[in-house]
Amino acid sequence: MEGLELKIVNNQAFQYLPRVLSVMLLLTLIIVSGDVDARSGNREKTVGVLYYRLMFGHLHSRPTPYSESLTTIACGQPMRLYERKNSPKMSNQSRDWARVKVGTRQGYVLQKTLAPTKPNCFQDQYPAFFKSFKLDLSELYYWGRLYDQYIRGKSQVF
Amino acid sequence: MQGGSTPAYAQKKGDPVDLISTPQKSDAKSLIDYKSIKDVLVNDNLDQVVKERKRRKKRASVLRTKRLISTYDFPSRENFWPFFSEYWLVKSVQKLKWNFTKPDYGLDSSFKKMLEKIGFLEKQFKVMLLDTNEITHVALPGSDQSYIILLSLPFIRTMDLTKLEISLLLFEDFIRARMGYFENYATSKELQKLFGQNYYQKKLPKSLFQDLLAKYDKIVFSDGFTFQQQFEVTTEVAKLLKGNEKFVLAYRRLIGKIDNLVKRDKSYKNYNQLYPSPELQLNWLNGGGVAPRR
Repeated sequence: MEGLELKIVNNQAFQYLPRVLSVMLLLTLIIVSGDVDARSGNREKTVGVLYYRLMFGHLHSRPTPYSESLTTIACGQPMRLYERKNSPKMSNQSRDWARVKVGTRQGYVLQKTLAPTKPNCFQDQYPAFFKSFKLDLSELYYWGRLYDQYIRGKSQVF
Repeated sequence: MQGGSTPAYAQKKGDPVDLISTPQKSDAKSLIDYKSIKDVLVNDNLDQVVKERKRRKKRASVLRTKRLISTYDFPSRENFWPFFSEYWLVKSVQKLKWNFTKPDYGLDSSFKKMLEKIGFLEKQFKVMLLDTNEITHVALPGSDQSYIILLSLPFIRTMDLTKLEISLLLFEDFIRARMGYFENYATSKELQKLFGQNYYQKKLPKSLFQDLLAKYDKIVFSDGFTFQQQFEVTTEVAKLLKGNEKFVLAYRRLIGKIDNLVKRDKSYKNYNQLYPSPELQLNWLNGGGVAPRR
């Protein structure tokens, strides 16, 4: 019995087991944890953390580019993505939007503006250059609005 | 130690008192074997540890400095123009009136299809509709892969353009942007030198960006493009559309519509100054007229 215990203690792999388990537990908690939707009162399921990948943008109150802005977001901003079940009632445009939580606010951003890993943002690539423009709040707001207002597309290889 | 009640070093009153009563040199030598201490230190590798620590500290400081210096990189040409064009758009929002609810004309798919049909693949475009006729249409400097095109909603509505005609108008601006006229006009020698360089411990010229904003305004609102540039763009577009009769006819129809509009509507009287001129363009397209002298 004593010999067996010593064997387990000496085994390097088992030394890290508690740490690995606690990290996995934490990750599971982050992923599975949910928030209560203010409108419906239902618990919303978080499916992961994503990052905003355009220069600036807005967290919208509804899944349309013309809805009220809840806050301005910048490139690299992490946000929790909620699971969103598509219903037949949803318009095609609405399906393009992801329901997310940024800080304490919940709202919508266009799905294609999100990246699974932290993007290489212009602001981070050229911090001193970017700072020299001294953008004020209204400029940040309008820069975010630009991406709501663009008609965007990309020609592709067939 | 010497015998007696008074130590040798405290002979006079008022003399500074050495609190560490050091034994005489001969005694110290006999008590401390410096050689053996040195040997111990050498064997302990303490001097190596100190050296390694110094090296590590130096390496960290070099890395820190490198990181600090890299924050002062000036963007490359490819990264600079899309950023600055958007900055100009943000600065000019009141004049350009782009922040309004827009109808969905399906321009994204029609322009995308046109680019693909003509053979321009993997090109990103951002079209911004404006609620003003101060600017009718213009492509801002961007990168080789990404284009920003402004288009006046009143302008296309007044002429009642079809989706194909609108796409052709965008295509003309796309070609104009590829030819780099706007970018060349806006680029100063000072700016050219800065692209992709590092400006750590140097100051960016204060007027650099203000001058650039003014140049954008000048080309977009008053100077526009030259006859020569317009000729080159028109012939290039015609060359690219050749073989697709539908596109060729629609392009001629578009230029004809613009020609009619600028002749009858005073609010577009500035158009000929910016894009000289639809009438000449029609001539060039029909194989007539002479190319303007350089």
